Amino acid sequence: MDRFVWTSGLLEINETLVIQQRGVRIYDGEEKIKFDAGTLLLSTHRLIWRDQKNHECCMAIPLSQIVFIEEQSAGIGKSAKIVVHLHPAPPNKELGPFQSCKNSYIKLSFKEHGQIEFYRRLSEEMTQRRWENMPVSQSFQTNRGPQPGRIRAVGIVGIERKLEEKRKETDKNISEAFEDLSKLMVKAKEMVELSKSIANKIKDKQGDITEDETIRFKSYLLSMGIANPVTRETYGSGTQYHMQLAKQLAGILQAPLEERGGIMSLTEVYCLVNRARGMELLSPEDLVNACKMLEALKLPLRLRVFDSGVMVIELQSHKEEEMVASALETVSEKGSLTSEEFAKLVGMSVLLAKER
Amino acid sequence: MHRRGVGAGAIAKKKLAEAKYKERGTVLAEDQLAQMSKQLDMFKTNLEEFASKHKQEIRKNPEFRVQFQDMCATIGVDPLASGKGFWSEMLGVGDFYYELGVQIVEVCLALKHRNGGLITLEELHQQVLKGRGKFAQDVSQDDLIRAIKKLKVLGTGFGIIPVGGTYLIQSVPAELNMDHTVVLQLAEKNGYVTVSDIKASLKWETERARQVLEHLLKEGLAWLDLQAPGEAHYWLPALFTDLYSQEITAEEAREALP
Repeated sequence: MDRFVWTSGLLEINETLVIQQRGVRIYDGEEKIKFDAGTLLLSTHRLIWRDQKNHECCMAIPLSQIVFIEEQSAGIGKSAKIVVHLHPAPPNKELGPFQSCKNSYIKLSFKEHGQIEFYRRLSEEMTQRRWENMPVSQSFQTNRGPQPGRIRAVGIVGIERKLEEKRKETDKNISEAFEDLSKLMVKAKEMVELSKSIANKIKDKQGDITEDETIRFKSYLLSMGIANPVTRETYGSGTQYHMQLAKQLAGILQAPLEERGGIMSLTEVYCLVNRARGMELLSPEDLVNACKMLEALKLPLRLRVFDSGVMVIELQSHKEEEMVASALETVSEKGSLTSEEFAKLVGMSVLLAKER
Repeated sequence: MHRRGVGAGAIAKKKLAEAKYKERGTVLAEDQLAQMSKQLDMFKTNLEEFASKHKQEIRKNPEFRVQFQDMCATIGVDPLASGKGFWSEMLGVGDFYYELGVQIVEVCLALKHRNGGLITLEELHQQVLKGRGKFAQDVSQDDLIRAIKKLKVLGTGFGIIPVGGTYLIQSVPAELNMDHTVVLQLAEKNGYVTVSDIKASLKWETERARQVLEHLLKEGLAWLDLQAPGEAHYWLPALFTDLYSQEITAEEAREALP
């Protein structure tokens, strides 16, 4: 912790901001210290931490002081962390929060997440070492490049060995995962080939395949996530699953539709339904495929696509021509209306008000 | 039987032959479908095994997620196509991305009044993380992009526009053509753009520059600043947060404006 230097937080010329993240706490080694809630900024030259509650409290460390970094995943009740191992402080270092300390590393705890991107960017900066090409004022540049004949602190050697082992272990895990994944993909590819050949047979023998079998085939495709090359007029890419879904949707959406003037955009429906489900969510495609079946199944809702591409669900009882006529009346009554004002009046979303 | 006409017998024979042919055709497909069904069951078992060993990897390791998605795309499989798909059910990738989709829509809706429906990927990322709270799984920018690509299916014109090394996410179906996009990319440097900037960098005539800026104004993506020194500045609120390395409170923002 004694490597930090007080700073104003303003960037120098030639120094660029790379990424920033709120909600970061600093640990001195394994100990929590008073710097528990701050914004962490990564520039091309430094790592800067500013207290969220007191903006005056702002400190930085030059990236050149960093030996290496590790990731520590989150656990139950623990946020994910990045461990930053540091070179010893140079003798001419300016004032900082601590004058001396026993640890040669600090931890950054990401209480509001963001560690994935931050780690990636920090690793990039450590690799690129842009601070070496873009000199800034001497006040925070310390000469820490690889110097021949420099005596390394014993602690660092031990740390590096531990890192090497950890890297090998992680590599092994990852490569095993990738190996297994590749084997799995080979099998998946076989499924794709088989489905293609069946699809071709169906195309050749139009009408000789029963409805039942087509539906079975489609559900197989759905399980594997293979795009359906054969579309039948009545049910499109839908399957039994989508038919059931369509019926469910008709039940769920009746009331919300009535509250919103009989019409809702598909995005609104997507959010509404998935928020209500909580788990086993619908994919956007599931929703679209189910909605395409509404009319065919003679349900009281229907899917409609405007010229602009906007897709909506509306009640069968909703007559757009009447709506347009009444909208025209409303607007002429008021002289003029923006889409926002109209939306408020009728109680519908601005997007749909625009369409009308 | 001799009472039947000769023609009838021939027709009957033909019908029988046709029926047999149909049967065979159906049998062929039936065979293959049965085969597929068996292979599907086997695949499901393999996937279950994979999931039991590596499900955590997918959840925790964003690079692995990327690899996984790329491999699926190569062989022609979309693991996110349906919540009912094996991939989604056994690896849990579905819920992860579909929920992210909902969160993205909500953030865009909440900020639309400010930026007209245009937001940088960085800001979207920050806002989504904030909304997800402390105990949720972290997400990478790649995850956001994939979720957005899926949202496009819903027809409301989610767009992804590359600008200066990052992306602008468009959540409102404003008509944006090449001209508009190029001006957005120009504005990314300073957060604003002027007619002179456009003429100097893109070598357009005044009229063309004016039309593009008018359109951006109309769509609510740009704000007009007539008090700027020199000529009118067209600011893009979507690009604001990128410019500051400090967090500015509302107080400071008010004081900073001329």
